[in-house]
Amino acid sequence: MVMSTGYLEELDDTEKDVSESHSKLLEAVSQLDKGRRVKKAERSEPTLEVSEFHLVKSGICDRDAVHVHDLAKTLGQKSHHHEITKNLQAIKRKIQVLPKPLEKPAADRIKRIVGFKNTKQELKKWNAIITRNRTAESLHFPLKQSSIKLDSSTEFVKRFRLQSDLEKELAALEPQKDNIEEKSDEFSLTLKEIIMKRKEAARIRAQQSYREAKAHRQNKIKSKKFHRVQRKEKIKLQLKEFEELQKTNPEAALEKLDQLDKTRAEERMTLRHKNTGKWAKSKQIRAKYDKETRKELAQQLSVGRELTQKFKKSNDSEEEDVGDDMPMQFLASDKENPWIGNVKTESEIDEFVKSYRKYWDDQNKKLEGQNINSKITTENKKINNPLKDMQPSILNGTDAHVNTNSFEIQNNEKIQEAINLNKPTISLMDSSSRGNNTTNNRQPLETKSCKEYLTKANVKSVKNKSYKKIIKNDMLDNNLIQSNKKIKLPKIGTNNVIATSSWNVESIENINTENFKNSNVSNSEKINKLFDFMEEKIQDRIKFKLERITQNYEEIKTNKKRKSKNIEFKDDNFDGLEIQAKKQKPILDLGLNENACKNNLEVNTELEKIKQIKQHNTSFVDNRSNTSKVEIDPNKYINIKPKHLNTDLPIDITGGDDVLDDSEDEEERRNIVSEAFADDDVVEEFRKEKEEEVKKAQPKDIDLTLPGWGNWGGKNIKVSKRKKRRFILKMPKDLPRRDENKGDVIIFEEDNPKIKEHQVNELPYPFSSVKDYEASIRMPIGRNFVSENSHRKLIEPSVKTHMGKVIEPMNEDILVKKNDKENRKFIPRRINKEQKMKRIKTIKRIKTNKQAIK
Amino acid sequence: METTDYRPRKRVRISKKKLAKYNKGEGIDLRENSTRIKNEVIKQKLKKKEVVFNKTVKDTARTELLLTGDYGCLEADCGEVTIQYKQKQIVDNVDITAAAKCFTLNLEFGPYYINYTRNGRHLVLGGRKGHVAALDWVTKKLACEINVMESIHDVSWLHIETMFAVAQKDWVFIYDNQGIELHCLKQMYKVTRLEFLPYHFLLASGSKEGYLAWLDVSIGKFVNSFNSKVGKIAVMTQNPSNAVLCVGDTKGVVSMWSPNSKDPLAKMLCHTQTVAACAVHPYGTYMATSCLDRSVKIWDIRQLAGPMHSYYVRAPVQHLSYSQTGQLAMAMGNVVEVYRSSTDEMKPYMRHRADWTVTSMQFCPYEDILGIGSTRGVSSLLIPGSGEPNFDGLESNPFQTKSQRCEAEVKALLDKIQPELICLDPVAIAEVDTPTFKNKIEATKNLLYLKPKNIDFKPRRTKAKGKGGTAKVVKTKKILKELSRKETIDMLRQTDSPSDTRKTEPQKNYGILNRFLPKSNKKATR
Repeated sequence: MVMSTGYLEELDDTEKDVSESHSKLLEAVSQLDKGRRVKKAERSEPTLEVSEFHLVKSGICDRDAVHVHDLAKTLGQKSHHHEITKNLQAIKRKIQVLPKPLEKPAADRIKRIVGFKNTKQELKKWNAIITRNRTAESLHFPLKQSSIKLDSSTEFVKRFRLQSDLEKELAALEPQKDNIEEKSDEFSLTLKEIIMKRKEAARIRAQQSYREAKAHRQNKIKSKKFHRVQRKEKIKLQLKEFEELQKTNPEAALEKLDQLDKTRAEERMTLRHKNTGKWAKSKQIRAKYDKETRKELAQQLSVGRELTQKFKKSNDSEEEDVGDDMPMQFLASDKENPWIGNVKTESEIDEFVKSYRKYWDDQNKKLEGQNINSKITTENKKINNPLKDMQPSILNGTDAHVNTNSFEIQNNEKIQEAINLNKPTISLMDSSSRGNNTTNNRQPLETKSCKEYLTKANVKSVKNKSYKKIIKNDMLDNNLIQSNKKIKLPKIGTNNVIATSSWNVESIENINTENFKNSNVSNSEKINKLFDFMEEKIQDRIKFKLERITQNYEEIKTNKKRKSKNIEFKDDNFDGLEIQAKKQKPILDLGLNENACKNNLEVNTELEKIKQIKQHNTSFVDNRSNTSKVEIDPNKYINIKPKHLNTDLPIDITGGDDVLDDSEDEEERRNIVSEAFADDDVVEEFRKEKEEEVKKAQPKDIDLTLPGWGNWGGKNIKVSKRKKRRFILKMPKDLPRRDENKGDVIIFEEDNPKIKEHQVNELPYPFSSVKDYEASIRMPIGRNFVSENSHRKLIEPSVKTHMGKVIEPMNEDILVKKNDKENRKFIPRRINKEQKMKRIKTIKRIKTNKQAIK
Repeated sequence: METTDYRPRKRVRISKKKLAKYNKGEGIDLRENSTRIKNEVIKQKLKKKEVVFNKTVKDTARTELLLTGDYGCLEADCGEVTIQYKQKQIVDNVDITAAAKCFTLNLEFGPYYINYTRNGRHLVLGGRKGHVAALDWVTKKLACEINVMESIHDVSWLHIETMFAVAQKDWVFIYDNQGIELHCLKQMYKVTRLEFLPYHFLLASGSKEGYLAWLDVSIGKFVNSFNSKVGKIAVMTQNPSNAVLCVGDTKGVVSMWSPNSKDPLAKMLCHTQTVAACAVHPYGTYMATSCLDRSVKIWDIRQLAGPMHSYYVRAPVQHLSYSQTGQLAMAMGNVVEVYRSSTDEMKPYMRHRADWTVTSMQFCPYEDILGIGSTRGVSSLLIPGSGEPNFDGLESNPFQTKSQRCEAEVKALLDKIQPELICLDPVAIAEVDTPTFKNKIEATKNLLYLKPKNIDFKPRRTKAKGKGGTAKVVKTKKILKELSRKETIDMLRQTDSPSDTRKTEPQKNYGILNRFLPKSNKKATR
């Protein structure tokens, strides 16, 4: 060891020299490098021991560390160190460096994952049973029931055994036991013991009574101080217990803590602390002299009172409506009753809360003012003020929030209404399309009505040639729409327009003429002018067309026979019409317009045919017209033909022949009356009523325009188109009705609010389609409707428990498959057809194989 | 029988027709690809429920096996028709118990009104001149007989045979079976027709002034009472399937009323003149109406469509009544005729000529009896095959004992249907109130942070079922029809324009008396 120390010293000396020069060099070099002025932080700790566990200079890597073999080098290969080196080597070989332990969170995570996997695997075994129980129609608890199966008689008999001879003999040997029971001694205790027991009991009773008396006395003590002290003691004791618990049983401690918190909260909740707080006390002190504080205190107290007030439900009015007169009177008397009337309704309380908020607002402002003006505030106030400020501000915030909310809600409601109103138009596309249909339907009619009028005007000019007329009609069809439009445009709101757009063909004629009579001369003149103008136009066009068509016609004539001609003719017409159809676009739906044209074409061709026929045979046409007229009779569409039943005629009982005459007379009279009233327009009246009902049921457009809003106001100011478009909520025109196709039936479709109360208006959980839900309740369950067995099955409760039986949680026994043979049921083997076929086939195959072998 | 055969006992197959009869329509959609129920457990549960439902349907169909009785009918020999058999002939040929059921009571006090109890055992009769009698008509045991010393307009049993209501001169009175007056209903004033709705415990009345009133006899409260504005209510029946009152008026309209609205639920124009009688099939399928113009029409009252059949008879029918098996009795003057419905027409079955004019008529339930009240008495006629042969003891038992009656009364009270549920569609209660539901969903859609539910609002019952299309199709058809009709009119007018243009001479207008002009003139004036 001495040697070694000397060596070390030497080393130190040389090192010192070296290090000094070296450090100088280093410094010089580092001076050169100006980029790095601040040295890297080094940690060093002077230690006496050299150990791998001690801190080393950072920046020095592992190679500078002292390893075992470095130390052992000095041992060398010397013989007396041999064992040590050997041991060292052995250790070196044996050593297996443990990997660095994982960081705690990572380790925990892995633990958790593995744990989860295992538990999951473990729990899987329950799955089958749980799903079975969940999907079971009914469960009978306790689930594990002892089988009630009775043993068969043979089994039962097996239990008894015949006694063997030996047994018999033994039994004979054995003396008969006395079957007399030992009488239990009534006096099991001695006298002394009884006395002792009594004394004991008396003592206990006395102690109990002492304790009771003490408790009673203590309860009676009114001294607050005493109670406070006691309470504090109690609390201290509890705290002590709690601390002890914390050491021994942390879970219980937690529970205890919860309990303590709860008791404190309950204590605070009671009314005891209404005026015992610091703030209240200070107020009380000042209340003697200050009015304001007195008020405040009173307010506070009243707040407390109000908040603890019980609610009284305010849905009495409904009950009143439903109930009889008698309860209503009672209620009225109740209202007069001052005792009951004291209870405040919800609305009143709401009002109060509002006023309370207001009060707080005021108070807040005042306080702020006070703060600015005078800084005379007690400590209490200092503490309280921020609190107060906070409270109302929060309240204010919420209030404002609520206000905005309510405003939003109102807006929403409005919008929703609007949406609701619009919605039918969007959702009921078919209805709107239907509407289109009807409008389209109407328009041809209109054109017809006008067409008639014009035809009459133009009859002379046009009627000469058949094809000319055809063109004319087509032309008229198209032009008249335009003319209609032209008439409409200048005179919106005059009678003429109404007349042109009404339904009945005949009536229109009448109305038209009447209107012409009635309306101003200027109007009629205008119209006449218009019509004249139109006529001229039409005639011009006709001429033009005629030329074209005659050209075509001649061409066709030269080329083809008459039949084919007609067809060509049609096509040509159609070509010509198509151009005009384009003009109609703004008025009519294009698709149907074409249809109408086609119809017209067809009609025209038919017309021509008819005319041809008429030329040949006029009488035939007449017949045909007659028949078609019969077809038009609307009664035929509705009524089926009545059959005559050959019933017996009643005889009037009153008497002889003269009376019979009377009856005949009466019959005649009745006939007359019936004939008189036969067509008494009952049908017409009824239809009118239906129409009215339909009209009434149609929702009306809602006009939301505000006159004068964003516009000039006053008389005779038209509402602008934009406004009309925007603010008039249009309802769908043709909602489907139940009595639509039913003829003379009116079904009043007001939704019955009374039955709605009983109907379901929300789907319960698993259902998201109305159809499914309705299907789920389709089956009647009453025993009047279904058989008794099914009734019982249908009303079986999903869970049944037996009274007084302990329901134990499931254990793993349930998982064990019991293979008791008795429980196994006989499963009939059913051979499917396919299987049968297969079997047969295999048999056949076998047979064939056998044959082959042979 | 072999005891070794362990195979499960094969049950008798049920015909598809029977199954369809009790089937309640398609079930919940639980198919894998189209179901809307996501939760597997619930799906399984519902599947099990469906199985139970199917089993229930089968069970119920099987119970038809227990309906052992079958109604018979008269069968005519060759060359004869059933209509020619007189009551006397029938009575001579039937057994004594049946023969005892055919009887006539000759009574003094004016035209008689009759009413049978729901089990068909008891009969109450009221004569216009104040005679009221209640009796067990099978045993002919008289329960009570009184004269109320007022005119009587109608009588009706209440839910049990110990109480009946009588519409007297001014008010309606309720008597018990000993003839003791229990109540006087002054709110029912000048009542002409009485009807009792057994499942709702409502006594409905129609008055001379057109007032309809419903009295809940279980709690003694008037449900509703209002003026129907159809004038005097002379014809009123109930539709047993939905408890709606059918009121026929002088304009030929039959209107249907419930106590829930002051407007009728529906109106049907059945005739062009006064409706003389109206009867509804006990199953609520058909309604027969008759008119003074000697027409009788049969309507499909479920669809509110028709007429299915229209007949002209030789004298105006004053009373109509349907039997439980669907036979229709018509009374004209003193003649009563019963018709049977065969495939698509009504065939005459029985004819009876009473001694006096028939004033009221009702088929007795569960008996082959037609009771008629006439101006001079009451008689019951044997109409073979008119009554339901199988009675349901839980529903109405003709052989009820007193204790059974008490029990049944309590049960019926427990099963009482609220008057709010009276509407045209009796199963409306089993439907979801879709409009309200839609509104609710819409409201939730507006809420932020709330995922709107995806709900299929399609109802289970489609309105145009069996029509082969929706109302839209029908409507377009109608439009097309009308279009073509108009076009033909136009076409014809154009062809016949010279003949059409001739002027019609203006007729003299007689105002309301126009109706007495000859027909040809009338059309011109209109």
